[in-house]
Amino acid sequence: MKSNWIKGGRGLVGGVAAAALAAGIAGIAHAGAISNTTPTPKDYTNTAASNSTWILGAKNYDNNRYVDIGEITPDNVSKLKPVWTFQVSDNGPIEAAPVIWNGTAYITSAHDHVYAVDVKTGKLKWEFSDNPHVISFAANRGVTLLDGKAYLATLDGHLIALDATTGKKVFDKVEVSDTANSFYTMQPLPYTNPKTGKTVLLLGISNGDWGGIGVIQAINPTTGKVEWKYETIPGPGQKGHNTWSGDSWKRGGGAVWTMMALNPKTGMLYANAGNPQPDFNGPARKGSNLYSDSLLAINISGAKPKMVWAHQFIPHDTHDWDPVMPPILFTGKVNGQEMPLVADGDKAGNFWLLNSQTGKLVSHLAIAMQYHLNLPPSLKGNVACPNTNGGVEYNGGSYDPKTNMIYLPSSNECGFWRSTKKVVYIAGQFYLGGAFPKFVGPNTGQFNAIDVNTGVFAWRDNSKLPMAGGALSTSTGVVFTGLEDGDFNAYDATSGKKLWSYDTGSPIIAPPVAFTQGNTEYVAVASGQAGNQMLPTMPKTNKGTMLTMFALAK
Amino acid sequence: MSPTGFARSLIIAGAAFAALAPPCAHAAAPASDQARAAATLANIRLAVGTIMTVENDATNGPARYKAAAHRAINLLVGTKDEAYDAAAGLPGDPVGAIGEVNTLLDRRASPPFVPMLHGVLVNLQSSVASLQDAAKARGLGAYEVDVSQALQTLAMAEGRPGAHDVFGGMLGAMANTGLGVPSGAPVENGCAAPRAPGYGMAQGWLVWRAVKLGSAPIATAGAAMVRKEGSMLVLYTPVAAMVQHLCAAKPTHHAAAQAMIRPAAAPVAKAPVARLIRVSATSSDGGVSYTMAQATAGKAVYAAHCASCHGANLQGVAAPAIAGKDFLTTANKNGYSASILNTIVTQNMPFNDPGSLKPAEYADVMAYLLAANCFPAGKTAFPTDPGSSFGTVKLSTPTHPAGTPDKFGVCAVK
Repeated sequence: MKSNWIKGGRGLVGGVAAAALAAGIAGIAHAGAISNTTPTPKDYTNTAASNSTWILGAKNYDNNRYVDIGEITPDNVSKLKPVWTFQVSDNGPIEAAPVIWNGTAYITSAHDHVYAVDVKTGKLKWEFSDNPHVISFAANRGVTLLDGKAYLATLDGHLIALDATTGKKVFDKVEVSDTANSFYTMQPLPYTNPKTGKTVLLLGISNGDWGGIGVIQAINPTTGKVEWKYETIPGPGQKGHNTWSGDSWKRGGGAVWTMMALNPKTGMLYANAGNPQPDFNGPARKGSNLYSDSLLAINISGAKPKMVWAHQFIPHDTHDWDPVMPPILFTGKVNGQEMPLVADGDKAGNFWLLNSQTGKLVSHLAIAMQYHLNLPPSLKGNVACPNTNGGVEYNGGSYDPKTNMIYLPSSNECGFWRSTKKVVYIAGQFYLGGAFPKFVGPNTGQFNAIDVNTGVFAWRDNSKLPMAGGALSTSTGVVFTGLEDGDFNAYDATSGKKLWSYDTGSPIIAPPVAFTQGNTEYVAVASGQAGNQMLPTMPKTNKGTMLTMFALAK
Repeated sequence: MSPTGFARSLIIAGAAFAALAPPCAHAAAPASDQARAAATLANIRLAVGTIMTVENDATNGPARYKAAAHRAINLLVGTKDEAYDAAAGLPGDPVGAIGEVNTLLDRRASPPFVPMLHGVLVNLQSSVASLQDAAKARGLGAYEVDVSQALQTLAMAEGRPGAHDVFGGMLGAMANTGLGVPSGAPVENGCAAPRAPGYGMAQGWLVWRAVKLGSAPIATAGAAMVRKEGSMLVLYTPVAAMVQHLCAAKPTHHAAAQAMIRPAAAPVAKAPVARLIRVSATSSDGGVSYTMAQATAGKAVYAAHCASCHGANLQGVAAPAIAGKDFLTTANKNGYSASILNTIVTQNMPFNDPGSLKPAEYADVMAYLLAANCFPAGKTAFPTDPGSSFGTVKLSTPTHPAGTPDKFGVCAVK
């Protein structure tokens, strides 16, 4: 079945399974050196076909979190047992999947620590502790392995290159223009231009609630210098600039802070630009505020990036409801017809399916409780749902080409919102024009299976707590997700029947991974603190921050 | 530049200082910043004039004064805006005063006139709203009330040359910044003393204007100080005294200008040069006070509502550190004051339920944070409702810490 969906895709990979296999065993020549310390650009292009690695945050450039395995099936998944647990000394929320390469799991923690751990034993090989100044939210979504280095983008705007074998620092660069309000949470996305053979690391900057504007940087992995940057808010003379009143665009937001999708062959980059700012004060920025709350398709194969299309989901958002789901690229059947698609989701609880070539809307589905979507926050305050944490969160979900379904957790949370009369920019602080919402009413979640063919639910599983743990689907028809009460669950991909559950003892807000090492198939998930998903109704006990590695009991 | 354009600029250059420019912005679209500023001012004045004309002639029924309100709106918003009323007639400038201001603000850089133009923009928008009310008013009495409001905000938009903050308005912006410098006029280094006729500029501010003395009269209104220097009359702008401190940051060529501008009563040599630019690390923590009892109570509030994200040791878990070296370094770098910290805490925290604590609890938490950051306690309690001028003391590592900081730079609170 493996080759089936690869061929049925967008011609992403052709005859590469053998090459990927070879890479796993002996490594591939890259830049003149033979080494399998880190993946080559080719390994990245072929990652969808490899089941022994997990080197991109959502498995591959398509972000589908779908893995081709054979051992773990709906029949035996209930026999999954923890093989080892690695306690992460940097206690905090973990939002990242571990990076798996060549027998090592690279775990990144909230304060930019990197732990290189032996996949089979769970023993620590090396640890790098950064502990940078935290501007607001402590989070890291993974390292990128390339050229013998592990690239870490940090909470104080540094790009640090570590020796992937020893964890020693190779270089440490600051390439953000304003360290007071700009930081990184993203895993750098490697892109090798097939025409020039040149590789860059693509990085968005988290500055979207702190008075910055959205930027995607392309960084030279050897020098650490920015090759080009792309801003998501059009300046004077650029198309869309007239959607901002006065000079509100200057601190207009539109940050690119969650994972991007990429077609490495065509150089089409799919990036979500976040909410406009000040978040809750709309009158300060009259207009539709392009390209905030938009999915941007940008061609980066030329010397300069060029927007091909943009689809704005929420014009003039006043609730911080940005699209944060890592967009999923796939070819799927809609009403029986194969189409090039991109799936996206926002914090307002919308699931969007677009044509990936044109950006045209294919289908839309509300997957969380929605209320007062068009009521802006007032000075006195009013209620709207979801709140800022609600709807679809930063880990998104998974696409299974066999079932043609998207598996996507979502949250039902309501908020009481207030805006303020004046908006003042204070360096390094939120630029909101109001306050983040207070919780109103119960906070729950659900795990949704969306049938791409019909555009509606195939099944849903309700949870007492909000859900933000991403999803993982396997070629054997098992779907995994983690819950905020600490449970790690497996479901039947077609029926939604719950097959297995394991209590890790700490809230899960990180997506699971699966891979094969030697003759064993592993499933892993991180758990720890709930971070900004924290709720009073969560379990009072917390077993700390950890990565748990599972395999079938033998 | 066309001869007419140049002539217009000359007249407007006078307006910046003399505040006597006749309305004259009806011709082709203005090009330079200074011309746009002048057109804005002209539109504002025309709007006022339009209202005042019927003010003195309001006996012929409402049609006439309501039309005047519409004409005034047209002058402010231009032809493209929804509020534009074609029936009231084209006022001249198709983009209107608001359009000109928006264009001036629409740039990547943020020159010093930006706050002033923000003030202008807000006042003009408010004027439009009042004039729209006036145009719908039932009866002369209601019209007068609305129009009075509009005249007030229009007066603020026009501004005064003596102010160079948000209240400066157009006159303040044109008297104190590059907006008062006509396109093509000779520009000199404003940090240095004038050597030739022209405009002295420093970091976007207009410091002085030097005019050759001759037979023609020189308008001096709007200047803070006028001096005869050689064969020139030098008009120092109201902002000049402040700008010399900016110049002082680069100690090369300002000495002459400093000595000349500074009033004798305040000896320049002893002036704390950095103060206007960056408030230095505090020697007096007197701007803010709290009691140790508050800090102790605040510790419990912190444990219940804040510690889950900011950590029991205040070094942050999911949220940033809020005491000690890491916090104070950033606070100092970003220029946080105790008042800013109080705003952040009371308005945005706790993150998931902002504003949910009682005022006394917020004050206690603030006291706890100050104590943990080694600021000494006093006899005056941290207030539950501090005004905006409260706590202007900038946060940085205290020179004389109260208590012994631990390895994170945090002082223990009992």
